[in-house]
Amino acid sequence: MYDLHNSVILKEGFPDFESFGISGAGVLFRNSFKKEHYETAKEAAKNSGLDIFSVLEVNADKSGDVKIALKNREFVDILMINAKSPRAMRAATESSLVDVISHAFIDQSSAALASNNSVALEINLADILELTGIKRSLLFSKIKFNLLLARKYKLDIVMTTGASSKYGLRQPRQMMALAEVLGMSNAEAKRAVMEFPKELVEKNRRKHSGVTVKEGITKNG
Amino acid sequence: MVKFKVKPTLKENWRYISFELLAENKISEKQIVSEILNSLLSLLGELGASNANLWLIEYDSKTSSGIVRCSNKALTEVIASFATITNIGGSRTTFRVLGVSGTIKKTKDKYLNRKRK
Repeated sequence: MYDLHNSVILKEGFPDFESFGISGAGVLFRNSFKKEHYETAKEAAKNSGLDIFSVLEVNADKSGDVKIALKNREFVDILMINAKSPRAMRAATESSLVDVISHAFIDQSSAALASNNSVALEINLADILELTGIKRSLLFSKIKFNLLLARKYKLDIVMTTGASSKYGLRQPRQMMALAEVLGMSNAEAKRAVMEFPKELVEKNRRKHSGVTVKEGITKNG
Repeated sequence: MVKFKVKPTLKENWRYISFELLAENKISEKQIVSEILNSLLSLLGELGASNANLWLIEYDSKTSSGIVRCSNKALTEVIASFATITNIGGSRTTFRVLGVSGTIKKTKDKYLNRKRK
């Protein structure tokens, strides 16, 4: 499993990812990408056997914030936008340079745009775990509506742990079980947890290596 | 307690989940039972929790591992409820599922004994 959204590495290093069945983890940067920190983490990860990649999550209050975020696109493997307003959401889904919309509660028109531009939606486990009672059930209903739109517009969904310490990490089996309880089929849950995150990282690495110009178009040699 | 005879076809199919606990502090068996049941109840509600027929079979505090029994039909829900446990008695906690099996003997041989060696 590849965990796109966790801030464990920069805080705690590399705690027992393998025992949780996590083979790849993102080094999460919030709002600004620090290349030195990423290089240090990458160097430290060589012995751990963990495949790490850079993830930039940008909080966007307005559409201008998304445009600023896109300037960092070429430096990071995964670009996530945490859209906090409908306009920011629209701007994020209009760009094919954005990979994932984090903590997403998407509306119908944005879902159609996201589908055209291959922008995925994130279901963050930490969001679920920090709530209880009626607030958690309201969150579930929003996630279920997102699933409905994702099925209609053939959107990809990424399920992430959102962990900030090793106690926030979960096994792929547990994540899949939770996704199934939320209403996904077994195949959908497997794709959201196991397959799509890895595909996304590999696709972006191919693009960054310069061999792939665009999906389906490669340079000679 | 009176034991009712049940036809083999009507018998409940059990699944035994072996688990490991990672926690900041030591946690007692009583605390684990109450937290597992609470998490199941909060995730699925009273009606959903009744389908699971959850029961803690054993817990070894030395290795922080144990076995939980549940109904075959509610296996996914029980594993999902394990994922929602974050805190037991004030210490941060996470559950790790070691494996699932159909008998206690096989669960012990396959998952717990291997771990305890």
